[in-house]
Order: sequence, then C-alpha cells, then structure tokens
Amino acid sequence: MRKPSLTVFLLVFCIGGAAMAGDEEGESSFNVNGYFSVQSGVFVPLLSDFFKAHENEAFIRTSSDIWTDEPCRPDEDPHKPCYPRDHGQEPGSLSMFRATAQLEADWAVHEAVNVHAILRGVRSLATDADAFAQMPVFDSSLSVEQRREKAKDFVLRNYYQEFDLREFYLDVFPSDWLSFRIGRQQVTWGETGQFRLLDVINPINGTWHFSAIESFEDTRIPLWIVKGLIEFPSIDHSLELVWVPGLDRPQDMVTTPLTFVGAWGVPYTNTPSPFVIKEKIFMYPENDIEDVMRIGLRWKGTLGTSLTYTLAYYYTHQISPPIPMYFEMGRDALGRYDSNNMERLYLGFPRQHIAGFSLDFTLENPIGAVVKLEAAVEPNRMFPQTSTTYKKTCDMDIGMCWFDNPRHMALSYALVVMRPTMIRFLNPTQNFMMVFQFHHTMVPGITKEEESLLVEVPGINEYTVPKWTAMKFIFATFTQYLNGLLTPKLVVAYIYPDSAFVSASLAVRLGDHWRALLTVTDFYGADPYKGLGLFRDRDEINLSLLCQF
Amino acid sequence: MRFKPFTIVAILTVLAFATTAVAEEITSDNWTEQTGFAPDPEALKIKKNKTVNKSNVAEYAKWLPPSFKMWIEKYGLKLKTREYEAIHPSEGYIEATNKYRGQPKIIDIGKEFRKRGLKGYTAGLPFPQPKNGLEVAWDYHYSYNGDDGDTYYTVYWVSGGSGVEHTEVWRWAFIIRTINRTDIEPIPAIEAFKKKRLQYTSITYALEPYDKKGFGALYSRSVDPLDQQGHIYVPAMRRVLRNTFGTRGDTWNSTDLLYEDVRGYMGYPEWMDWKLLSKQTMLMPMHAEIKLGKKYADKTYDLKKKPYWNPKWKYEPRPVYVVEVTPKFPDYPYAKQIMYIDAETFYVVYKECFDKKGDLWKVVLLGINESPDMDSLPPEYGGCVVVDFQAEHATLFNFHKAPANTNLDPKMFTLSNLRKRGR
Repeated sequence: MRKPSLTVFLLVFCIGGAAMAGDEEGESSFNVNGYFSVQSGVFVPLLSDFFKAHENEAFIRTSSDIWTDEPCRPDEDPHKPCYPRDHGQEPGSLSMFRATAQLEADWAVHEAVNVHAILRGVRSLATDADAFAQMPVFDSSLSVEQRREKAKDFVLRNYYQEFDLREFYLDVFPSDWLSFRIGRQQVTWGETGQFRLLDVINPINGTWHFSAIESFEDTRIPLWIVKGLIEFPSIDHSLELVWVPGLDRPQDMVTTPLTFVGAWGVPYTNTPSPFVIKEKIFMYPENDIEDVMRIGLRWKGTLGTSLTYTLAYYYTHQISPPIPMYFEMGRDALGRYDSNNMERLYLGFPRQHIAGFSLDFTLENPIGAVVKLEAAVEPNRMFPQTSTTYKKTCDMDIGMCWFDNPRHMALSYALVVMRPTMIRFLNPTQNFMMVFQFHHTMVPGITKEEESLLVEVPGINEYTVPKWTAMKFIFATFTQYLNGLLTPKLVVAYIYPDSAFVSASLAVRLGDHWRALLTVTDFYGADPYKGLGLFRDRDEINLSLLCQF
Repeated sequence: MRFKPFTIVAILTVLAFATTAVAEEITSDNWTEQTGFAPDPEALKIKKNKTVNKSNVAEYAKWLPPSFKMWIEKYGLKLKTREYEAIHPSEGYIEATNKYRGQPKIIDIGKEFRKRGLKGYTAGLPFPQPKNGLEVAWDYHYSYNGDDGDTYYTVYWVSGGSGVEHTEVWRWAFIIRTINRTDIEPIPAIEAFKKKRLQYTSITYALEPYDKKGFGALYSRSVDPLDQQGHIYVPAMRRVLRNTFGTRGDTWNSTDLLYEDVRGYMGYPEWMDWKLLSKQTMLMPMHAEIKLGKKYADKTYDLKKKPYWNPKWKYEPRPVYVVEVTPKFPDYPYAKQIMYIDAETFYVVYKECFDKKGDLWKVVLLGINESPDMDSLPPEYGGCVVVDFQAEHATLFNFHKAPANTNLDPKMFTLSNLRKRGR
C-alpha cells in the first residue's frame, strides 16, 4: 500500500505544480522536495556494430580443447565444456524500465542541528536480459527456461524493487570548528569524478544502469556512518574522520556483484570453470564489529588561492569484485570427494588499506583551466586468480581447498583537466565545458607470469591484470542552448587497448517541474570478454522523464 | 613675458597645494556637488506620477537613452515618473573619501589588462569629480554598496513570445568590501583577506527548483585584475569542485546576463577602455519604489502582458555619466557598451550592449530603492532586467530581501562551509 501512496502523492504535486520548499522571503526551516521519474531503454545495435546485433554463441569444446560445431547454452552448463564465443541482446528488447519516486526533507531543528532524509521507492520491470543473471545457487534440476525465469525473478525481487529510507542523518554543529554528520549517508572523497580512486566510502549498486553514464548520487549505496569534521580556519585546513560501524545489511557493505545484475551485469564467462559449482556463498562483511567496521580520515587544505590538496586514508574491505577464497568439494556417486564438483564456493571481500592524495589547482588565462591530480595506493590488494591456473592448498580429509590468492600493491592515479571554452561559432553565449580525464592503474610488484595468472573479473580468465597498461581516457563536453532549455552532452571513453564507448545525450528543461533526458550509448570492444567488450551488445537508446516539485 | 622652467614648477606646486588646501570637505549635504554633479534644473520640472509611454515618448526623448525610446515604442515599456531625491553614501564612506582624498593614482597600463591600474587607494570614493571615463570607472568599481550584503531572489527566464519559461530561487551572500571597508569593523580591512589580496568574497546557492537545489558556489576576486576563482558544490556529485568562474563573455547560469553584467559591470576597470561621452540628466529608476518579496513579482514586472519583461518601476531625473566602454580582449562578445553611471551613487544603473556589427544586442537595467538609512546603509537593490532584444528573451531578478551591512561572519565564506551546506 505504501508504494502506490507515495507515487500518487508525488504525481499530485507534479501535476498540480505545487512546491512546498522555501518560505516567502528566505530559507524555510522545513523543506520537502521530491520527484517522480520513469526511465526506459532498449538495446539497439549502433554504429560500432554496423547496426548488426551480436548473437549469443557458445559451442562445446572437447577435452583436448578442440572446438566442435555443437552449440550449447552457458546458462544451462555454466562450466566446461560449454564455451561462449560471444554474447548478444535481442535488438529492440528492453534494457530497463524503471519508475522512481523520491521524497527529500530537510529540517533545521535548531541553529546547530539539521535533519535530512531521503525516501526512495523504485520499481523496475523484469527484462529478457535478466534471464542471464548468474544466481548464487545453480539449480541443475530445472530446465534452462525455468532457470531463466528464476533468474529474472531473482533480479526482480532483489534489485528491482526498493522502498527505502535511503538517507537519514543528523547534522550537528556544536561549535565553529567542530561538526558531525551522523546517520545513513553518502560520503564523497576524491576529486576526479568517474574514477573513484578515493571515492571509496560508499559501494555502488550496479543494477541501476551502466554506471559511467549515471549519477553516483543514485547508484551509491548509503551507509550508516559517523562523520566528524574538525576545522582549522586560521590555516584554512580541515580534518574529516569517518567511522562506518557496519550497521547496514551485509550485502550493502559492498558493491553489488556484477554477475547478479541482469541487463547491466557481466555475461557468462568464455573460460568456464572446470567445476560444477552448486552454490556460491558471498561472505559479506558481518559478525563482529572488528570484522565489519571501517575507519578513515581525510586532511584537506588550501594553499594560497589556487591550490587545494587532500590526504586520505581508509581501512576498509575490497568492495569489488568478490574474490573466490575457498571451496568445499562435492562427492561423487561413491561418496568420494570429486575434484570436478564444487559443492560450495566461498567468495570474500578481504580487508585492505587505501591511502592517497589529491591536488587541484587553477591555471590562469589564457590556459584558464582547473587541473586535478589524484593518486591512490592499495598496499595489500588481493587479486583473484584464473579459474584454471589457480594455486590452492587442499585438505582431502575434510574436502576443503583454499586458494592462495596473492596480495600485491596496486597504484592508481588520474589526471583531470577541466576548461570552460567559448566556441562562439557553435554557441555564441555559453561556454563548452571540456573535461579530459586520464586514468592509469598498475601493479608494480607482479612478474610477467603472475600478470597472466591474475584476473580483473573472477572467472573471465582472459581479462587479466596488467602490470602497466590499464589505461583509460575519457573526454566529455557539454554546453547549453536556448537559455538552458537544451543541454547536449558528449562522453567518449577509450579503454586501452581496444574498447570504448560513446554516449551522446540531450537534456531538456521544461518549466520548473519537468525534465527529459535522451541518451544514446554505443559500446565498442574488439574482444567480447575484455574491457568494455563485456558490454558491446548493450548499445542503447534511453529516455527518462522526470517531474519534480 | 617668459618664465623659466623653475618658476613654472614653483607656481604649479603652489597652485596644487592651494587647491588641496581650499578643497571643501565633503559632507552628506554637499556630496552631489563635490563628487558628481546635480541634475539639469529643466529636468527637475518633470512632473511626478506622469506615465511616459508610446504616445508621449517624444516629449521625454531628451531625458532618455536611445534604447529606452525603442523599448517604449516597440515593446510597450511605461515609465512612471517621480521627483528627484539626492542620494549620499554612509558617514563612514564619506569620512574615508575625505581622509584618503587625492591619494589614489591611476597607473597607465595601456592595452594591458592583467596589470593593476590603480595605486594608493584605501577606501571611499577614489576620484570625486571624475575627469574622464577611467576615473568614472574606478568610482564605479569602489562605489558605495555597504561592506556586505545577503540577498534572496527569484530569477525568471522570460520569452518575449510565450512568457515565463522557468524560475530559480537563489541566496547570494557577499562581503563586497573585504578590504577598503568603511562601515563595519574591522575598518579598513579584514586581515585574512588582505593577506591574500582578495577584495571580495561571496557564497551563493540555489534554493529551488529541486534539480538545482543545493548547488552552491564560493568565489573570490583579487585586487589584481584576474579571473574570479572559487569552488562549486554539485549536489548530484556530492562534491566540492574547484572552478574558474566568469570566463569572460560567458553567461551566468544560462541567463541573458554575462558574468560581467552583474550589478551593471562586474569586471575590472583594467579590462576595458573607458571614454566619457557626456554628463547628462536622464530618467532612471534610482528610487524605483519596488516592493521586495516573492509575492510582489507581479507588481515588479508585467509578467502577464507581452513581452512579459517590462518593469513597473518609478523613474526620476538623475545626473548620469554616459561612458563608452570597449573591451581590451579580442574575443569579447560585446563590441561596445554604453553605460549610464549615476553621478551620486556611481552605480551602472543602465547599459546598452552592442554586437560586433554595431547593433543593439542587450540592455541591463537596475531598479534601485531608497536606502533604509542613508547615513549607515546603501541604497537597496530592488530588481534587475536584462533584455536580449535580438533573441527577444529576458532575465528578470525579483528580490525577496536584500539587506546590506549585516555583519556577515567571514567564516561563512570557507570551503568547509560550502561543503557543510551540501548534502
């Protein structure tokens, strides 16, 4: 009952054009705002595919790894000998259809105390693509059609329905130099937007959409956090302390595994496991507070008028991807442990430290740009191994094996240059904001051999961890026409060496209440199982309509 | 009779000292005569409560800028007249003008626009009785606005054909004089800003609509003629970002207003060439009698009748310096601006902007209300209209409240505060 009520409530506001926010002359002590939106998209093969759809292709390979012409279905046999060659979506099929209603309230209880709450209700339609979600439990007793229906239902139940007090926090300002934000919230660190090198406090819900073209505002999973800010105004610096006690649902403490998420998840691997895996158990951070809690601090300061810097440290979990840690062997008909049967595979989110810094500074005209540099080091990152060459230690008496997952230092840095630029023959009155971003991750410690044994996404063996060459380049630009009525935006991303996407969008502002956004996204990937090739069958046309009050 | 050079220098020195010695002290009573000029007595005969409109505009053409005549004839603007009233600044500003009189000196920087073009300025009006366009520009730059202000206002985007397109509500708090202060302690400067050579700081954020709510900007301006610098808070990113503001010739928030058009002209005197064309008396809304408040928007502007942007203000005969302003930047969108600068307040109360072809492009008109207390407070900003006559589009500002000298805490203008205000 509560969901329809919220929707009706919001629609009344939108259609009636009412606004509760603000008082007559200044700021009200109590504000309520919100929106109702509908967003839908279809998969349509675009230019990079020469408008021709990719097909789901999988074939049996013999035990000596010779391809046969015998087709198979990875969602029926997600293990050897069924080897996918490509993945595809039906042209014109739904990529998403989601209705969202959100209410946001701010209440200044006292000069030194504010309360903020966001209530969000979401309902999505199931899509055909959800049938390829890889559920934790593989039920071999079901037919493939039944299994697909079950996968769709799994996604629908777990990720496409939400009615959540998404944020609820208290701001307390006991003095000029000390403040607290306590409650369920998002904390954003880092300066480089899309790359999230230091934006590591809140995990991401990847079911929402392809994350690079959506706002993190919608896709971050808010957590219960105590945040304190101590200011040193005489030197223009501040110290921010963050404590995540772990009061959230365990699965909310990490980024949603992309194997789960249907339409925008990863496809079945082309290097299937030699095992029949009956059940995957995700060991989300839970139990004792010392196992769950996370803690961090950030020092931020301004030097002169042109340079700001931050130093950050966070003790956390590796929130993505989940890493296979150990497994229980299954038994054969004679009751013996069977090395081809994995009864339960346990995936974990190991502890790690992240430290980093950011710098941002202004370069005066004629350069007239803001430059941001950010770097993060993960001194003890655990890497998943390939599903065929992994190293493990087994105890055959109890039928358990533990993967010897290596830990290495991972270094990432990003450079962002932002420049508002007048191109008067294209837009005589409004600048084009040009944003160039470069991101490089490296694992300096690993040998050439290890490089080929470690993978980016567990199970996708050919998508290995590179030592030096994990580079991304993004260029984005946007401007406004007709006094802000139209906002065209272009994003071009290139992932070295052979994948990319181009996203072009047009936002339309219609009065005070209505907004529309049309987005066309074209993915390119030479290899369907590397980089953005994982999404090369997801070229999409997407439209959202929003009514706010 | 011939004089030796030494004799000439001696005479000139004596004359200079004599002039200084006899310079009459500026007071609130003689402010107009001592710093600017009085309106033409003939204009003072214009009767109050008359309406200047299409039918009688020819009678008043002498007292109107040329574009006003066009605005009245083509777009139906109506001007209600009122009697002239003299305006003077606060006692503190007058005292500073007397105290530092004669100290400010213009530095000849030629076509440079990044070098400081003034030395010796501390506070008050730098050039009483300005002799040329550049001195008028500096008088405008340091004109009396109080030391700080805190305004709430609605912005209307208006199409000449279809009316109001959309609106936004903003708060804008600023310390307009972080240094060069005259009204609020510490006088004449807040030390922290002086150290950084910042003459102005400001925080602004959107209150409505929902998709804009929470967007905030913190920025400051240097004493030197540099671009504004600052940070923005983007709610959708939950992040404070460093930003460069006011790319010259860029519009503010997709309105018809360039960043430099704020308050008539928000740039530096060094960025432009200034030529004094004339000293005239014109009908201008310096006691516009605008009622502040969201609910008075309909009474401030004619939002219901085409072209939906005409202000409903009162106009009085005002002494104005008419100044031709041309940019030193090669890529500036305005080829020329004609500014009408009030000779008592030194506000750019009206300006006409011309495109590269020399055609009228936009006008900016401020509506100024009477000061609540002239001895301690500046006149009150009541409204602002920016009309793009080529696109037949306008931006209107309806102030809900615009108090000045509110003694804002400098700690309000920090990155931490911008971040704390955000979600």
